[in-house]
Amino acid sequence: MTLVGRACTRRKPPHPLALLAVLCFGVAAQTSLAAGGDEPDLEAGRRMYREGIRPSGEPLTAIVTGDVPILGTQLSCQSCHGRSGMGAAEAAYIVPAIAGRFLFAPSPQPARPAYDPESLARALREGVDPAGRALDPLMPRYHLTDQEVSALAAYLAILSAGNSPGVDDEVIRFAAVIAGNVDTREREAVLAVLRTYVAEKNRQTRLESERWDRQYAPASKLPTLFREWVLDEWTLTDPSDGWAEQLETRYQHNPVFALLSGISTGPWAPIGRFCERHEIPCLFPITDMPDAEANDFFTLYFSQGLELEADLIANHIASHPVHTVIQVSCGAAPARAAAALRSALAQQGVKLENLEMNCDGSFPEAELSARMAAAPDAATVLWLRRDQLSTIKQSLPLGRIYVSSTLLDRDLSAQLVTAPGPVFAAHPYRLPGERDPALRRFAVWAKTRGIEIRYPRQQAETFFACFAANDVVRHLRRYFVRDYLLDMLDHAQGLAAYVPIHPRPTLGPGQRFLTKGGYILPVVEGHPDTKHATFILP
Amino acid sequence: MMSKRQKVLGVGIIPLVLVVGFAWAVQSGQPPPMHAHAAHDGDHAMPGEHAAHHAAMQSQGYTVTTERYLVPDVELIDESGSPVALRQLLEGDRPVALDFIFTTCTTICPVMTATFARMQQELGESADQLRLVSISIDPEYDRPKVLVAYAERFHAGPGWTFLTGDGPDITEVLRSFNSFYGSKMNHQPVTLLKRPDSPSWIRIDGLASSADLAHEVQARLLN
Repeated sequence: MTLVGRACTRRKPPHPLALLAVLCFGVAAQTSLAAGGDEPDLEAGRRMYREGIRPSGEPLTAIVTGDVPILGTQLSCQSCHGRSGMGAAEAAYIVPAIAGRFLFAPSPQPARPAYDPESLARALREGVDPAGRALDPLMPRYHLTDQEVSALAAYLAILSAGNSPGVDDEVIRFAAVIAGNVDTREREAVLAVLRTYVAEKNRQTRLESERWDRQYAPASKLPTLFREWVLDEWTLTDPSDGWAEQLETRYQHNPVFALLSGISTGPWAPIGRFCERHEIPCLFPITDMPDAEANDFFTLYFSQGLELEADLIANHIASHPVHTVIQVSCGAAPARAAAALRSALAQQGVKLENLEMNCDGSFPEAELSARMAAAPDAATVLWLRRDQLSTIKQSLPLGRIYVSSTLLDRDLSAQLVTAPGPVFAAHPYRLPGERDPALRRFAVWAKTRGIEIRYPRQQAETFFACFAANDVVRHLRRYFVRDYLLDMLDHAQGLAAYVPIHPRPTLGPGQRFLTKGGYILPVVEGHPDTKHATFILP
Repeated sequence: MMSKRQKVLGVGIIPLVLVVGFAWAVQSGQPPPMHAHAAHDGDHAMPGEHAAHHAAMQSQGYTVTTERYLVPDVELIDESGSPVALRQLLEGDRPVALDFIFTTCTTICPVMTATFARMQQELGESADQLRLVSISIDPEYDRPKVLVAYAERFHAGPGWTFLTGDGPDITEVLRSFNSFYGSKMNHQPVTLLKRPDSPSWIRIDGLASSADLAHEVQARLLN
């Protein structure tokens, strides 16, 4: 009996009246505002809300701060109120939540009745709320037709109306994707961090739901805030062209709220595409090949990985021009880096001759030496791992050489190649010897939990993914909406201090790579010369 | 870019303010109408749709003071990627209007930038004398090509320079103009005006309308 009673009280949706108001309003909006009885157009409403484009295809127009004309393409509803409509704040400016369940319900503070179609139209056009108060001058006064108001209202009514998939009254589900033939030890090292973090998080909140019954919990600790975290491990098997289908099957079987960390032997693209398709946040996967597309929204990465290295090298070459660039790449990942450099150099319009060599068979050392010797004003980019570099037995001819820190596992300490010319590493990581408080913090966490650190980067990245997810999920309070999670991450600049390994991380609205730049680091006689490292933001 | 203490403080404030806001909302039996995500000075107990008024809407909506600042001798880069010596630019022979923005800023920067654009139009021909400068406070993301797209989005006219640079340099600039607020998500609207023949800066805190700003510029810089 107690159990049943508890289940009923604590699991019911928080505001049935608000939802009812939303539904009623939807009907009201249709009848009173839509001219000629047209159904409000949700898609049109969404476009106005997100992009500031009216159904005609023209940008919305408005006046802000009294007399400044502004276009929807410069400032849309989403800009300030967030994609989720849950509101935000910037310094002293607090932007209220306008998702239907708040807008179409009375607000206690500042006291105002629920919006209805007429009062919404008045607020949007004249900047007056239903209590008769003027809205802040920062709220644009829009020029809108009745139909446009109606479409916008219909969209607001459904916006963030309920929890996203992957959450129920008891649990919130996450999945860690392990894609391809990941080394068993690496896989276990990463999973140890994930499992321990989640188990510990659940231990800490396991009694929260009991507080309700004991009658002494402050209202801010309502049990509806807490969900047990469930971590699914989604192992995807090669070949990689089957990953998309495997992801779909997993997701149909057990939807998750978000993907957490994750690791792949290949490009992240199949997983990234899956997240875009289902609008699932994918938080900080371990990958050197994000292969993100320009408008991707749902995955947050540490950096652009090898593509960033290619940009660093291209940038360095642009400021230190050469006549010829010779690239050597062995294997799939290096080949992608070489392709990225080729396109970066082409984009920069640097005039050069780009020779590429492959080493599908044995390493073409003699050919490389011959080419370098034939082109004295050349830069040679060796997209090689340490074992591949070590197959170069002879000293290379004179010429500038670039190596990839990522492919060398960030270890630039030993002699890389024998060459008379300068050697530079593309190094989008903190400098060797530089303080890394976040990494230290992880090391202490791992040590006190008996987790061996075999893969510092992968494990520290996973720890950050967990930490960030925990922080941001807590800020969702009881509104488990994926877009809200991403909105909150956009504003969580404070998390940047906890990013390990990667230099100068920043978060910001719509920004999807924590670290945007990296170093070109001279390597002199087997030692990275950090004093002469140049930080480049491509 | 900022001290460790400031970062830790920033992270700490967020949950604190959220919890306070949430407790208030639940006790009143209603969902909170917004979440307070950054600390704001003054009235914590009564956050609301009009909370910004107390800052921006007092009297005419902005305050004007006269300040002395030492422009740091740093090299920034403009939207074309060319290096710009900041001190020479700001202490040159043209009147200057300067603000701090970032391109992914959600609320106040689009309005500040639109206000500059409108002011440029309102000043008409006399705008030619005026140098507008917008410095990005998110230099990691706002690279020159991002600034170009942003300038186009707001129809920035000639004579308006957008600057970015190295993170530590930008922080130094913000500090020297007493406009460093710890995090870009916490920045506040400041517009700075300077006559070429005066060592003083006219500082406008708050969001002025474009007519007010044009008036200030006309009266204080271009007369």
